[in-house]
Amino acid sequence: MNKAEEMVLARLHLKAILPLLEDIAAYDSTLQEYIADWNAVIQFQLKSLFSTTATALIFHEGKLKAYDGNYSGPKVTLTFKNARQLNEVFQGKSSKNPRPNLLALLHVNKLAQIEKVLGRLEHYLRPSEEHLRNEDFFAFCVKVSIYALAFGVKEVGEHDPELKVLAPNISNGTIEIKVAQGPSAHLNIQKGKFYPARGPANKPNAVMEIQDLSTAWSMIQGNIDVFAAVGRGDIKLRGYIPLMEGVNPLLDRLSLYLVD
Amino acid sequence: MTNKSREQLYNFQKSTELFSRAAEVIPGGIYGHISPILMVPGLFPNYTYHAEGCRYTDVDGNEFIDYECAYGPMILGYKHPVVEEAAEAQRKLADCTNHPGEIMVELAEYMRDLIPVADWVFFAKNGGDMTTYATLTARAHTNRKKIITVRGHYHGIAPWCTAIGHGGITPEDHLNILTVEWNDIEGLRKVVKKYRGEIAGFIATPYHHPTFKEQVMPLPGYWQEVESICREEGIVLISDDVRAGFRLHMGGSNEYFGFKPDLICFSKAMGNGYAISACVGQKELMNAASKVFATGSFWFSAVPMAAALATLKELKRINAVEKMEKMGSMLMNGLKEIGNRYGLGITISGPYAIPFMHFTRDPNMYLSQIFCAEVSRRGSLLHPSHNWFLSAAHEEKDINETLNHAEEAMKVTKDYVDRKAVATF
Repeated sequence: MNKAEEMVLARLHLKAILPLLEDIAAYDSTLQEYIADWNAVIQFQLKSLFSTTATALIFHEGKLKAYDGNYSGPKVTLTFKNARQLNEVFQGKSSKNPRPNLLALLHVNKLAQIEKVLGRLEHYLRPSEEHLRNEDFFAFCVKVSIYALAFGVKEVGEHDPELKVLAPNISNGTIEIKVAQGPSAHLNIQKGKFYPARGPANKPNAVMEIQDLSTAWSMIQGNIDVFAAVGRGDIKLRGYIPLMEGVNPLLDRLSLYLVD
Repeated sequence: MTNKSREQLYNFQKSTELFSRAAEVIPGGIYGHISPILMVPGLFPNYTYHAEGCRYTDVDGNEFIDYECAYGPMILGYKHPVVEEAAEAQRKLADCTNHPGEIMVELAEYMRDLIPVADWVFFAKNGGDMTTYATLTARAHTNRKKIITVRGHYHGIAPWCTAIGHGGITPEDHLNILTVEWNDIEGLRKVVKKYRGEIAGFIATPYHHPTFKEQVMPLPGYWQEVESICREEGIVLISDDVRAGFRLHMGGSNEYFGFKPDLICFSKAMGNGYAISACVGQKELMNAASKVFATGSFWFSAVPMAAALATLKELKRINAVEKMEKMGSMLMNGLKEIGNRYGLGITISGPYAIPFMHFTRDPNMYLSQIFCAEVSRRGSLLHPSHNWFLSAAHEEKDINETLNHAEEAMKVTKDYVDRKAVATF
């Protein structure tokens, strides 16, 4: 992976994956226990000469909210040396911790536990077969994965060194991705910029409806031939199909980033 | 004709089952331009059993009046006796051997005489063989590298003309490809000025026929301006007439639009379904054309050449171009009238022989998907997102039958609109 691709992956970790902790904190009792008495803002960031790429996690009375961007106000910052270090930490491949700021000294206990908190992401995004047998758990995994997919497309579409040239050519409009009687996310595209959100769209220009959670999970894991699934009717496409066609290469590339 | 009850509507069970089997052994099940994902899977046929004239039967036994015509190749009707007889006669002699048959020369001479631009003819199998060959010829002729294309024009699946993002395509594949917008002369001038002396060719379809969008004819004077710019700058002008060829004019669609390209690519209709394509060109390019290395195991097969010669002669003899326009006009105006009656405005685009319709207030094509699927379930094949094709086999009775299917389908479509349930289809 070259430097530009490392940076895309780092953005994926910060902008598409890390914010899922907000959903997980609302669902997962283990995480709720970890953060029960946390009242702090912890910002994960990558700094360069010209910009800061950041996501802040706001912990307040046992709740967690993700904040996209540079949070204004007192915060613990965890600054990664570079994109590769960030990626390795998120992938559990590195024990080198990001550099904390002085304020972090007041939150030493929390920082010691941050690895455990991040570990809850792994628990749902790379679940064990055994856990997946639990229906409720499975449904939740599909839900957060669909969110990751919608938010991940934005990062790939806007920042992938090769594919960002495609974005300006994708028609404006909104794609809704949903599981029948299940979770949904949508992605609004305007002039080559992507605006993902959780839940259904108001007036989608195109809809991808996946027949059930199991098919959705297989699709997210890259275990089915999507064209064949559409042909069989397992995945239903309606509306302005070119919007989906425009996003399809981004989804393919996204899965390459996240495969490891 | 009475409305069909739900029980009488076609079902596509065997098509769907066959597709599921296919998906186990064939990537995508059915791939490329005929992939079911471009229609409405489950409400259109996937597999053909039998075809004759302008009709075909799918594997479920459903019969369709066909307005997709194999996506263009069928122009005289499936299994046309004149074409089949010529093909069979050649088959009895020889097809794929060590050498071409005499028929190759006869076909080339006939096309040279038929097509005003043609001083020579080069044969292959598919349209994409010829568009790539034409761009290579343009480079060989000019000793320049760059090719100008028009955004949204389809020229095949070679890497130079397949969008970045599709599997296996790299940005480097497009290093020498420049893109302009359709009907934008000023944009073309700017590109030509910027890359003066570097541009080998300009390739475009004679009119704009994208998928999922209405078709756009050239603005008055557009092609004449393009031709003039190409002449001034020494750029080889290539008409990709693969899709429209022989439906608008027997001499090439450029004759219909009044311009003179250096090279024209044909395929689809020229063999009435037999696999053959051709690039024709002006004599100034013949030497360069001979220097391009292009060949294929089946490019010299004699049977498709015999079929093509018979097809072209028959098209001319029966004045097929005029008939297709007449039948297309009857179909499209009939559809428009039905749409108006149900308060669903319809926009028709493209030439009548290669028409397309969409609902005027349906930018996302939900209504087209409902309407075309409902027509399909009643026995006519109208594609929701790709232009349609008329053939010389379509008769007034076929058009009337289709309009009856359309009337019923329009009722269903209107019902979805009234129930505000369009996106639930």
